[in-house]
Amino acid sequence: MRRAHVATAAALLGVIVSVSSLAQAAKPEDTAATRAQGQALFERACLFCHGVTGQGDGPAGWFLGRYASPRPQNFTVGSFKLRSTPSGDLPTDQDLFRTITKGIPGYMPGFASLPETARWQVVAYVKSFYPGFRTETPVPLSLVGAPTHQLAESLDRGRALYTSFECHTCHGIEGQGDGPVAQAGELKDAFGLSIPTANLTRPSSFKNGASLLDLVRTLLTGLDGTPMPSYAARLSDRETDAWDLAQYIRALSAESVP
Amino acid sequence: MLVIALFIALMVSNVPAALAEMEQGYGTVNVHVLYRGTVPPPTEMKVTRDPETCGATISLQSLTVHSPSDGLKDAVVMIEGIHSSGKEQTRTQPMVLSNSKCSFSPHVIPLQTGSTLEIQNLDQIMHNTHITHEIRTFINVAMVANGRPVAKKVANPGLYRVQCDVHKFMEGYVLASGHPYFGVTDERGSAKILDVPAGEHDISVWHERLGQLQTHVTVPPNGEATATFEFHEDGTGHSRRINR
Amino acid sequence: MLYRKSTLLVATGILVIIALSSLAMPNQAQAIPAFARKYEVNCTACHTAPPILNTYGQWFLENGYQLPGTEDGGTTGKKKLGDVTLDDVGKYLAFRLVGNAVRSWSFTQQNPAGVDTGVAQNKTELTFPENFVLFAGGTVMKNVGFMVELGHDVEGGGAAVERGFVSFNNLGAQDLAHVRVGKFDPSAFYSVVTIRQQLNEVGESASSSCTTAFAPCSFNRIGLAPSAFATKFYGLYDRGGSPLSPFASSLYNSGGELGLDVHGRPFGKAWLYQVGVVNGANEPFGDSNKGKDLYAMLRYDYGHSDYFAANISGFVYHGNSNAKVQTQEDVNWHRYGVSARATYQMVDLYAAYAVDRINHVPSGVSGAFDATATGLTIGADAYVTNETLLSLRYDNLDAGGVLEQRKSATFVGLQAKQYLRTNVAVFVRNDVNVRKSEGGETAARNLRNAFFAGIDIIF
Repeated sequence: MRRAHVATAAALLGVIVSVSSLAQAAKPEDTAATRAQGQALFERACLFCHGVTGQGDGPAGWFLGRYASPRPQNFTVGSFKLRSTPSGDLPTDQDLFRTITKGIPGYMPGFASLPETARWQVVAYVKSFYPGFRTETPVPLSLVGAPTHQLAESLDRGRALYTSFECHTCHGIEGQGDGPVAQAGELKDAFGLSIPTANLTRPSSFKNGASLLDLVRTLLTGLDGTPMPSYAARLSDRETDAWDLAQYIRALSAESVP
Repeated sequence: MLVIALFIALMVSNVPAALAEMEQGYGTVNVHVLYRGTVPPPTEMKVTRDPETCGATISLQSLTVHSPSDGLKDAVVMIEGIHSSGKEQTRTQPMVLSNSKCSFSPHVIPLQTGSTLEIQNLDQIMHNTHITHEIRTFINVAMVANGRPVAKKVANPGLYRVQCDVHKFMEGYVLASGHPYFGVTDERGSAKILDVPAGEHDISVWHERLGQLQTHVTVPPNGEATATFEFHEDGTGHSRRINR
Repeated sequence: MLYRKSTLLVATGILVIIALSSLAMPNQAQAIPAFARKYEVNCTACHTAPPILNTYGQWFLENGYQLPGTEDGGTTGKKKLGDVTLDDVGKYLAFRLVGNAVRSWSFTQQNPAGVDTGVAQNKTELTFPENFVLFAGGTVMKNVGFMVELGHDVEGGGAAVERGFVSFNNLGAQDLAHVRVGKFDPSAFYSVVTIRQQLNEVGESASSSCTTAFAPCSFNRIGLAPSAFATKFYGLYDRGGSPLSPFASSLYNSGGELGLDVHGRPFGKAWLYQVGVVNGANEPFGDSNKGKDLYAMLRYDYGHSDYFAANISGFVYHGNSNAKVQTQEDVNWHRYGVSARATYQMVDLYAAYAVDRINHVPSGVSGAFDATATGLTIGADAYVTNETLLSLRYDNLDAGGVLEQRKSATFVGLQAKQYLRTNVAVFVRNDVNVRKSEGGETAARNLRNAFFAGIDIIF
């Protein structure tokens, strides 16, 4: 009996150790060799859209948005939409890894099929396109706990926030991406391309993910290079607001969200 | 022992440089920026959003010229190719950028890198203050009514464009300098740059609409130099310098 | 007559319903078929303008319907059921309905030949979109892909497997060798691909004499298809005696042949090789050919940045007793082709040229048979707005075959396509016969102008 306990404990320990060593083995050191391996992968899988110099002008890149946004990400500029960091800051390695793994609905396939180590190698190579990654240390915003209100109360609060944050200006009162500024065609991305507003009733098209946590992250960070601003300053006052607004945005759609 | 010897050697070796600097001294540069020509009438835009705050129409005039002196307001003047010498005090006090009556105030902010830019919203509507440095986002932040100000340190020198995606007519500029030798012209088109190390310097002026001009000044120790820039209606310009 | 009218009504009704239902579909179903749904991307990730592929789509195809640089066949977009992984049905089934709803011909009546010559007539037909294709494609496991295309030709009636094959990918090493086995289009990796055209193929109209085996056959109206890929010879028959249309795509450029082929990029990313063996063009299923047809293709790709991509390719196709002449003697028919394509931002330019040769003209037709024919196709597609695609195509067929039948043809076609949604487009198209001033009583000369309006729906 006692022996069995010991065996279980040893096995558990073994699992923990092996898991942690796996995680460490998966993310290689950011060395020249790692970047070279990342480059080889990049040139097989990413170059078509992002281009050999990482400027988002690959041979197949124009067709993605044609005359409108989005074009493939230009890694040399230093603006990244999908982050966990404050507006204007670079993304963390984990942010880049998440985007490579999950892709961007509508525009970029996910590369979960690449081995984890390979994805980290691509992260290292992508970072080498922008020198700021060598001097800046991106720090993720702390995501606030969890929703505390009952759903009904949360939705009421979220609806009020949706109004007071003027989400409807772009996304429309019903969230269908048809707010007055969107309809006026005034919204442009950083490159001057007209950019469509997210239709909040179609969560499966959300570029930064559609889970509650993804929505809270998007509200806090904004999407750099687009008109979507960060609400971090406002949301840091009352932390539960982020969750309430996220709950309300999810309730705008009947689509089920993973 | 060795350390002390090294320290003394360093001190001694620094003395001539420090002496030279003291002898060299510091001077002031007075800058006058003029616009010669007719000022185009302001662009009147109908306000489609938030007219109760922004007004029914908005008048956009990127050239503010003083009459009769022709002095041009909101031009940024800056010594070029100079590094901080250490004597001067850095000018890294926080600079406040306000969203006020649907415009950015001040319209042009020069500051030294390392300064904090503090953004506030005095209007009872939401603005988003979207600042880009070249193409990179510096900050894009939702400024809800009655919200707290947002502060961010400006680390990189260069021109920052300030916009509000919701109110397209709102526009402003932040010019970040790596050193403290800069200024922005007042209503009469004048600016003063204090404590400039004596010697030869290039000096430039930048205006959002008229572009850039450059000239040369010789700053005398404990004296004053004057640089005058003239922008012309046809897009040309020239500059002259007077040293006193 | 009554029957025709009701057919038209029903057809129009179905068309309207399909158009409306696709309009009502949610935004993200805009993606094309299966692959877009599987990877949750828009069709523009892989296509310049469907069905034409961009470089990414090209590599996806080469890699056996796996993302370039990966071997993701087993997992992406699939549900796990124990140790079996399954795609959602919608992730490997797709549907395309394309064709002209209205065709209007301006031509000189001459059927039967010689009657009413010189009198220009207009004939307008409402036609149900001519072609439905049901696709099922994807990967069954890592490095094993499949594609089945079930086509329905409304005019001809019936459904047929246009393509159906299995691919085994990345054999030996990544991109060393990919094998396709089954009924496939040999030119899938060529710079200009037969089954990926903006201007739909419009079939010829054959005279009634053409139904008798090995009977002399004339055409009332020529077909409109890329001349470089066309059969090019007048007076050829398949092994069953049915006349071959000089305008239909064949040999290397056939839409579907039974066989096996191998392609890969072992010499770096820029060079693609392809070799293959097929039963041979015009081979009725189950017949035994005297020999197999062989082909080899080499392609060079350039594309790094600046939204620019270009490639050039050439092939040799060696036919082996793959057609007959009227005297029922076999001919060996070879084709040599070069093609090139360049894409820059919104513009897609392409050209293909092919020389067809018949070695050893059979004695039964010797002296009255031109053994060499050439075809040239030059085209351009350009997005003039986000939703409007203009296409221009020039075709010159320098025909060969039986001297008294053959007539060369030159056509220019212009099409404007308007995307109502990403997956629904309407188009108008006009083709002009450049040689109409030469007059004459053959199909290649009597057609003056052809106008089409149609719809292209993909989901």
